[in-house]
Amino acid sequence: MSKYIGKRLLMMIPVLLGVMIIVFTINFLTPGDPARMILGDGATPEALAQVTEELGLNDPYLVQLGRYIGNVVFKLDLGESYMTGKPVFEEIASRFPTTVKLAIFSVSISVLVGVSAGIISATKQYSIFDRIATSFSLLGVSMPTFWAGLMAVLIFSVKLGWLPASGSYGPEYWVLPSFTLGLHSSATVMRMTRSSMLEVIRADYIRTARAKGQKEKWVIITHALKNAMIPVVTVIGMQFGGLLGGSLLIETVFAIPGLGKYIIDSISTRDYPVVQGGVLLLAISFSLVNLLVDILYAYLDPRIKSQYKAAKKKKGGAKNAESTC
Amino acid sequence: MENILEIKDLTIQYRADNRIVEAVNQLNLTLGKGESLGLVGETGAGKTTTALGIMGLIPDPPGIVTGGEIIFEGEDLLKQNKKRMRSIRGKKISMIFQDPMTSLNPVMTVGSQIAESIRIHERCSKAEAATKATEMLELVGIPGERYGEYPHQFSGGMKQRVVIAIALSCNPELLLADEPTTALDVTIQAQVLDLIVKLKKEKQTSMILITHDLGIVAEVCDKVAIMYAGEIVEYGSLEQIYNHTCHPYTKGLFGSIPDLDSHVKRLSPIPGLMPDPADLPAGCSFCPRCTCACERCESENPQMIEVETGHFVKCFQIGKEEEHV
Repeated sequence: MSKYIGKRLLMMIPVLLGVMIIVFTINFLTPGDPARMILGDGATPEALAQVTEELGLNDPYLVQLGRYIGNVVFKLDLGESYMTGKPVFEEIASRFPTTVKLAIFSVSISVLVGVSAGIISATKQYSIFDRIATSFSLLGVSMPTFWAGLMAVLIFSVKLGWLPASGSYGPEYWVLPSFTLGLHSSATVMRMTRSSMLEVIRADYIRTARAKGQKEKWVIITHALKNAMIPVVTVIGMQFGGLLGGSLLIETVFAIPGLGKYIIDSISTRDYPVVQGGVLLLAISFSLVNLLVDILYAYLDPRIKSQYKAAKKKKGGAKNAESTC
Repeated sequence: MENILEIKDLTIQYRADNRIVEAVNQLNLTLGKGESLGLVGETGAGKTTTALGIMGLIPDPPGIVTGGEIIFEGEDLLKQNKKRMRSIRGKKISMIFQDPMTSLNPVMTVGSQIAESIRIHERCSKAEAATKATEMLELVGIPGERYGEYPHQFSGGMKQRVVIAIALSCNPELLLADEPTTALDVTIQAQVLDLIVKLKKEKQTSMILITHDLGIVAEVCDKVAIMYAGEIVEYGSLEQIYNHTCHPYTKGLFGSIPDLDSHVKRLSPIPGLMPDPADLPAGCSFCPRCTCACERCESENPQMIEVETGHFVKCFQIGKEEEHV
């Protein structure tokens, strides 16, 4: 298993290099002059030329790319923000915890609501609860988060005055954004859990469990759930990965100083090092979440675990064969 | 001999989209203590539905038991509440399922699946249940060390042994074996069958063996019931059915078996197909395929007649022949 994880971590290297090259190239091709953004509209052509030269933006594409990748790989240096002059790493590090917090809160809500509603819907298919839950989840899937967020602000902050509308100062500030995001993604999780559960509870081994005289509750919890969770875990992982990249719309609606909003702001100010650093972090978190999901698979399904092991053995076997030749 | 099971006028229907499928029609059956009954019939004759009906495991919806009685050790199983049925299932009546590939939970170890059944019905600690489950594994010819392995690490025959171990773990009074060897290789079939018979003898279990293989019935059973379109058409001891075959359908079944000693080049299969159970003929359900059907067969459903002690046949032609004699 540890060998598998090591292999997967090594496989991240080409992915991340690719991400770096693509993001850098897109930035390079994007029209707009960072020097003008830094100095403002009233800047003299001399000053502009000087800043452009200082930032190294006159160098050819490959030189700039090589410098960027070299700095990241060998010095772990993401560069400095054009706007603030502070290291990009610091800028991102100060915002990332906010985004992670929001992502964890939202995913917890989404799992709690989505998985339990999905299980109940599947076990009581076509009941009133099932009908209500599936209609709500359809609503949740089709409703854009920013609109849901605005409506939540309108109702709970403006009309009822129960919760603050924006900012991130205390726990109460997290309620609306977490619930807006969480309930939105719980709709997808619920649909996935329901359909996966429906498939599993018709399986022969569930009938075997019932034939043992097991209580229905335990049939669902011990036999069905673990089998039904694989596609659900995939969906949850994807959503968590997406949320780690910052949920731009929600961060904007609720004025939360997270990573998503920062990256978008940096794009409009042509703050290239920040954009590159931000996207790289996003790629790393996405890959790590994916790896975590794959490890969870092995825990959920012993057949997948033995596949990981078999791949390892096969490799070892091939080596042995070579050495005997 | 005391009867362990008595089924009277059992009727089971599947209802979906205004279509009523009559899977089991007015079925009558008795089974003495310690006896083995072979329930023989084509695919779709209602054999499995009957067994699931006894277990109280008819999937509802769409299945409904619309009438009749299933009297097991003096109590009507159809009148028991869920809790009572759970205490009977797996403890007093247990079932071996047709397809061992899908009957075991893929994410649980085989040992824990056997131990589960023991834990449900016998008040014992986890460790005691595990010890007993290991003994059961060894009883069915699987080394106890394989307790912690998962179903995908076993072959089909081994899996069926595990299913048998689960079914027999609580020493049931009645064993329902639903085509236990159909999914297995011929060589493994014999092994599994021998195992069932041996364990059945040791534990004094009564058994209903569902199969469409008359050869297996001849080896294992004391009594035979031939089922056609949800009804028992002929019922009697092994000797009566095999040597004094009465019903045209049973004769047809025997005609479909290849015989090495005879010099007939072609088998004589029963012409036609079983009637659509959603649209059964008004009279005898075998009438459309019967070679000796008369007008009366088309309009009237024959009653069971006892042609000799313990040998029942559901056919008008039988009485007639005797009249001629």
